[in-house]
This record gives sequence, structure tokens and C-alpha cells, in this order.
Amino acid sequence: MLPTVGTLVLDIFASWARLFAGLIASVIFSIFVGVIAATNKRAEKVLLPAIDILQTIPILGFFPVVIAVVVLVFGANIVGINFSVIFLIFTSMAWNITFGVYEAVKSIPEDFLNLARINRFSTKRLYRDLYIPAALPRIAYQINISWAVGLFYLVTSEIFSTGSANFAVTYGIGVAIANLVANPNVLYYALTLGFLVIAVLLTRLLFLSPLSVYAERYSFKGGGSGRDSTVLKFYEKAWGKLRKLARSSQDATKPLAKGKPGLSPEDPSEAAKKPAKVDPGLAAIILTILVLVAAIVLTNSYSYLPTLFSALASSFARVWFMYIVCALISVPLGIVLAKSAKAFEPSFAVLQVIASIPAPILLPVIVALLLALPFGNELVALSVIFLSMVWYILFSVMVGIRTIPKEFFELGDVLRFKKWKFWRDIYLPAVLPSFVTGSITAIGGAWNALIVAEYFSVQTCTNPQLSLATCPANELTTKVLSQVSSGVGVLLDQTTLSGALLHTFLVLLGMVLIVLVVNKFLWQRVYKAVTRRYRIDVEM
Amino acid sequence: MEEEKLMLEVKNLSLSYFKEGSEYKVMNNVSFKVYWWEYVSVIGPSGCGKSSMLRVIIGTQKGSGGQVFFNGQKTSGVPPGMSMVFQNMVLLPWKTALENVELSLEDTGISKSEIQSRATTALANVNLQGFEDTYPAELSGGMRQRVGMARAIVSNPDMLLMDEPFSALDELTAEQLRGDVHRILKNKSLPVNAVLMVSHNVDEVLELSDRVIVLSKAPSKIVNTVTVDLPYPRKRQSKEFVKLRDLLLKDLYAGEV
Repeated sequence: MLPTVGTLVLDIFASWARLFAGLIASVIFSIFVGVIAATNKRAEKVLLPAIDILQTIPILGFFPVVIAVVVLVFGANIVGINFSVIFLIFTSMAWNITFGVYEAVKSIPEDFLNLARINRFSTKRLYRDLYIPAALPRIAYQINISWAVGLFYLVTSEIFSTGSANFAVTYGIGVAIANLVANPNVLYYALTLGFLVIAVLLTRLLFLSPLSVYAERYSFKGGGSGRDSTVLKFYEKAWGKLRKLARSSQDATKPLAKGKPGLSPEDPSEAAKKPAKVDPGLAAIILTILVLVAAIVLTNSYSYLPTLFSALASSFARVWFMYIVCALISVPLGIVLAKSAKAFEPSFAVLQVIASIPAPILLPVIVALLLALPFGNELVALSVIFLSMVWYILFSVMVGIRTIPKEFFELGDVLRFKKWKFWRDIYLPAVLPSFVTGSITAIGGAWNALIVAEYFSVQTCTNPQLSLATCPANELTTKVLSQVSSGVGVLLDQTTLSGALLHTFLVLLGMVLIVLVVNKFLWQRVYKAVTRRYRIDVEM
Repeated sequence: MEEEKLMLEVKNLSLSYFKEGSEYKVMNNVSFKVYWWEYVSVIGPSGCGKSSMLRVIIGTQKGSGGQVFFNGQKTSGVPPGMSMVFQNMVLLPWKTALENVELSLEDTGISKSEIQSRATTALANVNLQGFEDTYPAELSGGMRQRVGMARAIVSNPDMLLMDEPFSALDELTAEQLRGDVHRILKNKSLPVNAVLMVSHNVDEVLELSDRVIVLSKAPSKIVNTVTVDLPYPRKRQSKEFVKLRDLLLKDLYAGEV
């Protein structure tokens, strides 16, 4: 059953409601956890590595488990399934915002803290007048990033959920997409894409960019960037009128709250203590191995091991092959687009909009174009992996180039560098640190994408007149559209759909282990080496 | 007399920038000359366009009007024989001190061994022998600026432009470095036969310059040109020095209003 304009509006509305629910939950979580991590040394030691590890684990892979558990506990009802989706979105957004709050509060200039101590700020005032305002610019910045990631998670989890009658959400942009893969229709697909792009643009215009402009005022550097936003002005005017109205109706002046001072003077002996010498990355690896081995031994699942290993190996190969392809394309492209300030602004804005269209949205096109080709299933998987990685690398390279102080370009001009020398001696080395950061995120994104890239099934109604929402249960059938021969995504989907939770669990542990090992033994080292030599100090 | 040989002539240089479609004039018809063996400084309030002026002279930025003649030739692009020292040193962090200096000579048809020996000599000329293989991050601010200086002089330029070269350094290091710059310019066997420096520090300008050009605030024009005819090393407490300082400060104030 094809979507109509009416259902499309409902789809977008449902998806966006889930996104905002996840976002609000993330921001509240981030403020409290971020501030606690930044102000309490003991909490910092536990929270920081935990957040760091959570950030790198492909949590989307856990969606099958989350949804299966929720359905097991709550039954397959709207609340339970929506809770799972929102929880997923929360896990995709919360960590980087928390990190941002932590760093912002950590870098509050000492004298502001002294001011708070002298004035005996209560905890409430500390949050209201110091921590939250100080963290606002970072929160706004991180929300911009989280938004795109959240949209990706949202669509992916919605599409995944339609694979089983038990889990399917009724409305959502992912539902529309899944239906369109099953019943290709160019007009409705164009309509769906159009609605999505409009929603993305409106979100940017009405929410994300006014938020950034607003938050810039709270920068300690003062003054912000001088950017302006008409939308923000409008909001402020409307808010001012609302407050006037509210004030005229109730004229209560509350007495000033006298709280206990919430900020104790800093104890230098506490600060001087060295952090414990436990490597959290290594601890996580050992823990994962222990749990994995225990699970295999206790449940006697040795026979599953060959399947598991071949799936892990195939997915690993797919992710890394596409990573190399992405790097070879994105690095030169990013440099070319970003090296001139004139080309940077418009291309960045356009790419941001394109990039905020999550890769799984393109599944109908990808399936229609590639599935019939030789190795079609493989090509579909590789394309989705490519699209979920390429932006991270491209953007990190572009931003990396723009953060090179302009004197470095001047130096090249003054010394009359030839083109190739610019590339070899300035562009390529200077983007290395941000390229590495982008690579880590990109590969994380690729592992996340596997649950829709490698295996893709939808519910269809045998009665084509009916929509999924109105289709009686006995007429629903699951249709597998694309499936690679072996891979983590295939196993996760199949085991969840068949209810083999133990196997789902083993696959997840295997995937998490790979990601943790690669982060610990490859990325951590590369990152250290690269930032030691290739980072340009801002104050320079 | 050799002093009268003209090296640089700036004619009616104007600068402006555009914001939201309207033009803002920063510098208006500034003209001056720099002769061989001369140390000329340009001083003025921040925002008067003095740093941009240097970039127009060396050709990495375009002015909105005027011409620059270097060794008798009207310039277009970066002229050979002119070099620049940056306020923030701008050393590539991924290259050693020696490699940073060598950057100036690569692609000029000079052999690898020649490049290396010249770069080594340039480092020695700024008292940095032994630090060839050190990375910028491991060098102090003063040492980094010395590498920047070596990179600028290794190509044997006639003229050295300096954009507030001492402002990122502590006073003691800056003092030593000023001595080095003076020595390099006045030693005729070493490269650099004229210096044009931009600064906002009256004392530093008086300590080094033969001539000081004072600019007003934007849109800036030349308020005064002061000839400093004091023997080296110049003592900041000396009567003549104090007198010139007062004069320059008076000109600067005059340019502010």
C-alpha cells in the first residue's frame, strides 16, 4: 500500500516527535551527567571512560535486542515499541552532548568558579547561572551533530522495525521508505524525499540555527561571532509578549531562595592525586571477552562459532574496504572544496543538507538500481555502508582544512609553493588529526548501518488495497528484499526475527569486541601519534 | 652614495574591505620609500591596516588601489628577493627546524645537499646550531621565531618584511632577537639589505629603525615620518630616546582623533 500525502505528514510528524523526545531526554541526561563528571573527581574517573566507550560501540546493533526485550516484557504495543525507538535515539545523541557539557564546564575560567564560591551560590544557582549557560554553546554545537546521527538511527530503527509484524511502528518516515522498497513508485518516493528534505530544512531554519546563534552569546570569548538570526528575533519578541501577558495575570514576587552553598572550595590535595592506572579500553575488551567466552561455554554454542566468525570477518571486510574507498574519495574532495573560503561556505551548507538525509532513505533507489546486477545484494550493502561513512570523513576533512590558520596558506604563497607542495606539505598533513577523528566516527557509523545494509526485509500485506496499519495479521507476510551471504547485519536481523536471542547476544558481543580492539590497538595509537605531531596549536 | 639606492616604493596604496555590500576604507593613499640598508618601521593603532599593507606589498593580498615597485620593477604576485617573518611564526609542526627552513629553497632548482647546507648555515646565523632535528613543539617561542627568521633569510632576500615579529615573545627573548635582526641587517656579508617592520610598540621601533612611519587610525594616512639618528646600541633611558618616544606617542595620539 503506497503512502499518501496524509500518511506522509503523519509519518514525518511521528518521526520528528520521536527525535525530539530522544533529544530532550539526551539534553537533560547530558547536563546532569556532564556537570557531575566535570565537578566530581571520583565520578569523572568512572563516567568519562564509560561515555568514551559507549560512544564507540555501534549501539544500533543493540536495537534488535532492545526491541525484543521490550516486546517480551511489555508486549507488542505502541508504547513499548516507541519507547525502544526513542531509547535508541537517546543512545545515539546523549554521549557526545554529555562530553560537550563536561568539556565546557571543565573549561569554565577559574575566576568564575571563585565568583560563585564568594557569592555562596546554591546548587540550583550554580546550574542556572553558571553550568548551563557555560555549557550552552557546546550543547548547541553538539545538538547539530546529534541531530543528524539521531535521524540516521531513527530511520534505521524504523525500517528495521517494519521487518516484523511484532515490532513494527505504525507511522514514521522509515515505514514509508520500507513500503516504497517493497512497492517502488517514483512519484511517491519523490514526494517522501521532498517531505523529508523540507522537514530537515525547516528544522535547521526554525530550530538548529536560531539555537546556535542564541548559544553563541554565552561564549566566554564574548560577543559571539556577530551572526544574526531573524527567526531568533521573532522567537524573542513572541517570548517577550508571552511573559508580559503572564506577568500581568499573576503578580507574585517570590522571595529570594537562600540555598546552601553548592560549590565547596577546591581541595588541592584531591586535584594532585594521580588517576588510577586502569586502562578502561583494555578493561572493556577483557570484560567483553570474558562474557563472550562464558556465554559460549555455558550455553554450549560451539556449533554457532563458524557462522559467527565468518559473519564477523565478512562485515569487517566490507566496512574496511568501503572505509578505504571513502577515504580515497573524501580526502581530496574535502580539501578541494574547503581550501578556498569562497567555495567552502556554500558547499558546506549544501552538503550538510544532503548529509542529513540518512543513508537508509536511499534504499529504494539503491535496491532498484543495484539489486538486479551481479552481486546485487553485496552492492546494496556496500552502498549503504558507503553512504553512512562518507559524510563523516568529508566533513571532518573540510572542517580540518578551515581550522588551519590562514597564515599557513600565506606562508605557502610567500614561499611560492607549487600546487603539489601545498598538498604534500600543508593540506594533507594538516588534515590528518581531523581525518583520524572523522574515521573513527565513520567506521562506527558503518557498523551501525549493517542492520539495514546487509539484510533488509519488509512487511507486506497480501491485500494490496490495505495499508500495513489496517492489514489483518493473517494477511501480513515478511518479504526479504536484500540479503548478503554472510554478515553481522544478517545474523542480527535473522536471529531477532526468529527470536534466537542467545545468538543475537553472541553476535553483538563479537561485533563490540572487534570495535573495541580496533579502537584500542589501532585508533588510539594512530590518534596519539597524529595529534602529537600534526596538530596545529590554535594559540600558536 | 649607496644609501640612496631605492629598494621599495609604495605609491598611493589604498585598502578597503567589504561587509554586507558596503565598502569600508582602511587605508587611504599611503606612499613611502625604503632605501638599501635601511630599517623602516610602520607604527599605528590596531585596525589601521598596517599588517594588510605588508601582505599587499609581498603580493599575497590585493589592495584597492596603488602600486608597489620593488628594485625598480612594478610587482605582481610574490616578487623574488622579498621575504617575510610572521607574528605567529607559522612553522609547520610536522617538520623539523631544518625542514622548515628548507621549505624556502625547495623547487628552486638547487640540489638537495646545497639546500641542506644553506639551511644549516641559516640556522647557525640565528644561533640555532644543534637544533636542526628538533620539532617546533619542542622549541621555545624565541627559538621558533628564530627558525622563522632563518626560513626568511635562507633564500638570500634583499628585503625582509616583518609583521610584529616580537609581539608573541617575552620581553627578554624579544630583546635578544632584536639584536639578531639588527646584526643580520647591518652585516653586509649576510642576506637582507633592507627591513620593513610593522609594529605597535614604540620602544621596539625606536630601538631598531632608521625611519619610523606613523599611521593614523582607519582610514589611515601617514601622520608623520620620524628619522631616528641614534647610535647603536640604543639606550631606552637616554635623553634623545625619550624625546623621540614622546614625539612618536604624540603623533600616535594625533592620529587617533
